[in-house]
Amino acid sequence: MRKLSYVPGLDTEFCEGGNSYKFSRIDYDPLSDECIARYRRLKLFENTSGLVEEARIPSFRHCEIFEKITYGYDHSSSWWLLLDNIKIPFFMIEPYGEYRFDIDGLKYHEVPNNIAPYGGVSIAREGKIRVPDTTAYLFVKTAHYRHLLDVMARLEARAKLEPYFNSVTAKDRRNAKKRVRVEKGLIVFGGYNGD
Amino acid sequence: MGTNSNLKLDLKSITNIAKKTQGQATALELLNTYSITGNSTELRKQMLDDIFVLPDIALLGQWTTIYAAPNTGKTLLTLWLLKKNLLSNNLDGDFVFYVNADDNFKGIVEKTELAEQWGFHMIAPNHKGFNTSQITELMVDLAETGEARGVIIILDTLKKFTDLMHKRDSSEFGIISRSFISAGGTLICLAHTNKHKNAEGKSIYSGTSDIRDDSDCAFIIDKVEGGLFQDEAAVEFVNDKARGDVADKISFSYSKKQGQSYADLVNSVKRLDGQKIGKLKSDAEFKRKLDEDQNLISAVGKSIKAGITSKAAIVKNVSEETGVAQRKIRESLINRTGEMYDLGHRWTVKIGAHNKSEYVMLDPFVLSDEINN
Repeated sequence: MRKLSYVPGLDTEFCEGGNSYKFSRIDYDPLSDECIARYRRLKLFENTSGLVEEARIPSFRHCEIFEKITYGYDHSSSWWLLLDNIKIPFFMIEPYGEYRFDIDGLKYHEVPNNIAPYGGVSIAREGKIRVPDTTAYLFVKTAHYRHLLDVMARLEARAKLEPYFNSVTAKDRRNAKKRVRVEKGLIVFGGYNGD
Repeated sequence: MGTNSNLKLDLKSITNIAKKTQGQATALELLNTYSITGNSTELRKQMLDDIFVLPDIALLGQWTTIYAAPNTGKTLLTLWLLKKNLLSNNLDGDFVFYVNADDNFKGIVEKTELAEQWGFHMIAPNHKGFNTSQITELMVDLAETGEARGVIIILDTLKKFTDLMHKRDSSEFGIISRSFISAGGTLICLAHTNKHKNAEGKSIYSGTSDIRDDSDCAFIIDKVEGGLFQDEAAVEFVNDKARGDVADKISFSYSKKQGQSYADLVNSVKRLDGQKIGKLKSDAEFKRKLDEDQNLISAVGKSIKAGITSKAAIVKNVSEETGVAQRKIRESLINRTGEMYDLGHRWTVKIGAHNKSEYVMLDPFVLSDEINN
């Protein structure tokens, strides 16, 4: 198991800003088809699941989840499900390949691949493919499993209505140009590319 | 001031000078260091809102003790109340730790299944290395490391964690619990009542008074007899000590059937309104009084059958037969005179020959027919 990422009572929670999913994995080349499709899936994932990203670090409640995951740890992101009086931590990893996890205290489900935000394709397979090479796993603590089931039900239902993962239409490209224009100055082109 | 006093003062000064030179704080300096005056803004930020962990019973950030006799339903009702709050998303189950130290293996399995369904942590002795003696150590650690804030521990039942009959043990448990609560934790303890009830027929807590005294809030659950269907039970939570806006009294019913699962038992729980519980209580009181008067009623019945029908003669005869005071017999004669058997009347008065009042026993079956006609 990896070293504890924080010491309770010593470290300060959320002491660093951290990078958002969009900043890390989309803004480096926002007008490429890969990133246009990724942006579409990210928004779809956020709107359908109701999850809100947590970019600040360290987030103790997310630390409790990710420090238990010992492999398949790639393209990670932290999320909250905001309910009336409480917020439930969700943690997502999107590694290349497929994994099975049996982690005491955690439960997970696979996010449908046409909604999973990252949708990575290995260089050897680039072209017209319908299934990504990455798999998105959404984790919660066991006590929060019923919330994961709720989120998954929404994602599964929505996935049936959506196109294949890297579909990009002319309209998507136009929207991407508009968005980049609006966000001019906020986007760091050619900057950070994933983690 | 005498020489001795001066010497003492000198000594104290020397002690303080020594402490200063060693870079230690004096006692007064330490007291100043401990003062939290000036930190209220920070403390208010950490203060927990008035959120119920168990609706109307237990508040977040408090120590609540619920007392009840065995098989009254304290575990059942605690779980039902917890379920309500968890499923309505008022409570994050990841902070709720139910320590089930009063169950058999089947019970542990059934309750763990519910914990998985509703989303909270179930802990049981001798599972995954947990031992009941660890709980106080964990509470101390949680308090000291600042991790106690928001953590809810439910101890079922308290006697598995401390000796309630032993004053020193209970008092020590109280000190540990208070430090856990002061650090933002929440503690709910389920404990037993005495076998014997008080003069009013109400249950009283078992053990020394320390746990009740140290708790922020204490409730006693009593079964309410009578009135419901055969397999239904009614219970009432009565507040014994409060710190916060908790209910004075709150009642529930549940239905216990042979062969039913624990989940079904939990699903049978219902909250009873004041009117319903009032009716149940008056029915129970009615039954209790009737049982109490049963010997007197049969003695009066025998007298009337033997032809002793005047009030004075009945009182004299029954008193001689039973040894009950004449005043009490007269009271019963009055209270149980009437035409309504269902209201507890057992005889009626008829005017006989020479305008004499005569007592006649009521026949429940004949009378109900008469009423129906």
